[in-house]
Amino acid sequence: MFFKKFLKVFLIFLLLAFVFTIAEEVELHTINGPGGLEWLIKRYKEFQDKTGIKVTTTVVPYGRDQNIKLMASFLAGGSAYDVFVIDCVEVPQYAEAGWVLAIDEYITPEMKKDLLPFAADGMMYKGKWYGLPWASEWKSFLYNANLLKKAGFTNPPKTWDEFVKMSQTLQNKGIVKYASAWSWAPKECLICDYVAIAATFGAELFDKDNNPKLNSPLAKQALQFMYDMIHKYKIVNPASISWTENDVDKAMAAGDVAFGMRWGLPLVMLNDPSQSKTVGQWKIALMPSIDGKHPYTVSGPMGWAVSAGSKHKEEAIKFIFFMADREGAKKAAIEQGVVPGWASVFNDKDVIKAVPGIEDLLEQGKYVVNRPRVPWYHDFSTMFAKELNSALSGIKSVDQALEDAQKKALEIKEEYEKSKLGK
Amino acid sequence: MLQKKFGYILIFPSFLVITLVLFYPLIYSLFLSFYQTSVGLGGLKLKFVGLNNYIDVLRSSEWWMSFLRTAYFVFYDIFVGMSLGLGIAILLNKNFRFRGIARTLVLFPYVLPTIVKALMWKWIYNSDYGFLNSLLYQLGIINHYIPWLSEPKLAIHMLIIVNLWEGTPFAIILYLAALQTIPNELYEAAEIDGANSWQIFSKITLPLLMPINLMLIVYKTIATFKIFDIVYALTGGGPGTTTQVVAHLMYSTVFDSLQFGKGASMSFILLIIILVLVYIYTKLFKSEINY
Repeated sequence: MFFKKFLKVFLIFLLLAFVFTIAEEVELHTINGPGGLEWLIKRYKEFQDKTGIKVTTTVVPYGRDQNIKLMASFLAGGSAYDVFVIDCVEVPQYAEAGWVLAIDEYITPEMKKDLLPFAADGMMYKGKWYGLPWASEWKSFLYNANLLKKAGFTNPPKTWDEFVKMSQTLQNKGIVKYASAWSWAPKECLICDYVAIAATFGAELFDKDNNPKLNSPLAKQALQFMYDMIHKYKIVNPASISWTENDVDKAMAAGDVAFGMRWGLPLVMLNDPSQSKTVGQWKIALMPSIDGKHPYTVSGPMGWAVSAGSKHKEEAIKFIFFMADREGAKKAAIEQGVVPGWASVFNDKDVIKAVPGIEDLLEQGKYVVNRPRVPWYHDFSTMFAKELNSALSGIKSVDQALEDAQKKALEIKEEYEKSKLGK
Repeated sequence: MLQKKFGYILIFPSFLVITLVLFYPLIYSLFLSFYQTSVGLGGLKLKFVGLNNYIDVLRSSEWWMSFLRTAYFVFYDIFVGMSLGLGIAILLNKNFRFRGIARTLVLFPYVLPTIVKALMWKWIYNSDYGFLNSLLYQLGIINHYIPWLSEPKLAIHMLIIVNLWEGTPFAIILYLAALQTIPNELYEAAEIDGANSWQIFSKITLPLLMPINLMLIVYKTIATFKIFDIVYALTGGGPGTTTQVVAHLMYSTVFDSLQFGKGASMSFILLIIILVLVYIYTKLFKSEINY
């Protein structure tokens, strides 16, 4: 009799314990690429220790793979991934589709004042905030000072003419086989590099109303120069047309090239002996330009965002602030080389001490241009990358590629507007 | 009777699972192919466009170029891949020392995970450190390193090599199994009659392998028309669009452009083309298979 009673009480206790465990444990789901994964997982664990909220992640190979999974999740209600990193070019599309949560009420006037304008702008669409800036990056132009010194140069090039001449000298003296390498595979990385180079020629690819101007004379001049660097001057590793940023990073870290461009805090990786053979050799300079007066580069601010379909919105907000508020951003900058979106973090003495070259980096940060921020960006960039790559590979002439790109961009825009209006 | 009912009850869960995971997506994608799709608040927005998606695809030069490129892959896979498979299978069917090890080694490309294969070939083709450049340079065959995946005319052939390397082991296994079923007496009788090696091969081996040939041609046509992973991992369809195959175009249409309806219509056009090809193969081989 006693045993039966005991068993009943025990079973009820067990059931209650189970129910409470399930009820109390909140689990946030996110999605990441392989870059810096170990560090991210460490941070997720720290968040769990602090708040009791568990964070699990799905790992995908690279870039666009994340968008595919995210979109599938959004179309199914948006609860598969509660939090995710959003790129500035995705904000208009995700916001228009209602997939991402607006977080205006959490951004105080004091925070707005401290956030870097371009990073904040990247997270906004039609006046609303859709993410907390994280990895507020731009691409920096770098040169290997040791290799340049061997060739008799003490300063980096300021104009593209100087860049060509210095590259040829470096190659003619046998210091490097190819002076530079670029990420010009028919992917997003090519769009980024082209946007930067076109800006150094003074070209604007879109007008203020986001209408494409891809076939302007200056845009053609910029692409022609890229083509010439490979085929006429032969100063760019020809494999660049199938390379992404990772391949360029490897070439720079191995000392195979004297010039390159990198996202983020570039010297963190290049000065890490476990990843680089060229520790202490690289310096940051302003981008060369056609006249030495347009040292522009491309920016690509990203942010932590919350899915509009998340079932744990409050916890998700807590998480994005843990990762990307001033304290989180400082940790990320020092430990992982993630560019902060906060002006105060850039000026923090611990960050200045820990991140070499940050002053040079900030100088370049004054000259940044963004990729077009249109809701039809994915369709556009896929098409544009193929056209640019066709020109660089010599499959199409520069003129033809940009004329085709302009025509197709207008078609994509028209198609989007039609579908939006439900025509 | 009771036993029969019990049988139906037992297979019902499997039938349900298959219906859900196979037929539902198939019918849904057929449904989508008649709609123009756009994404927006609350999910997918659909607008009925009838056969417009199919007409657009069939009018698109990008589709036909991708189709021809894929057909080029299929051509190599059938003619070169099957010849290689048969040749290697004949060698492995002979008695020699370490035959077991050799048989295991040829299966190596078949059992490796796709991502490992892709990374391995990316390294082999690397223009600066790659094994292929290094080997050819040291042998004096080339005098400068070649960017294998960046040359428009070369890239597709480099992918064809990877596809052959990946797909040939399957042909080897099938041919090896089929060769072992051919009675030895036939060969012994032919030898006694004074037949030479070519006569033995063309009059005995090849005719008896016809059912396997048909099966391999059908399999390779289907498998190679779906080729995607190595293209995605090694070239992303570039340079330009010179390695863009149909599966890659479908992927790009669906996931980059979010044109689900158009992507679905592409897959059904491809399905119809493959079915027609399989029908033609079957008719062609019907008269050849008499054993």
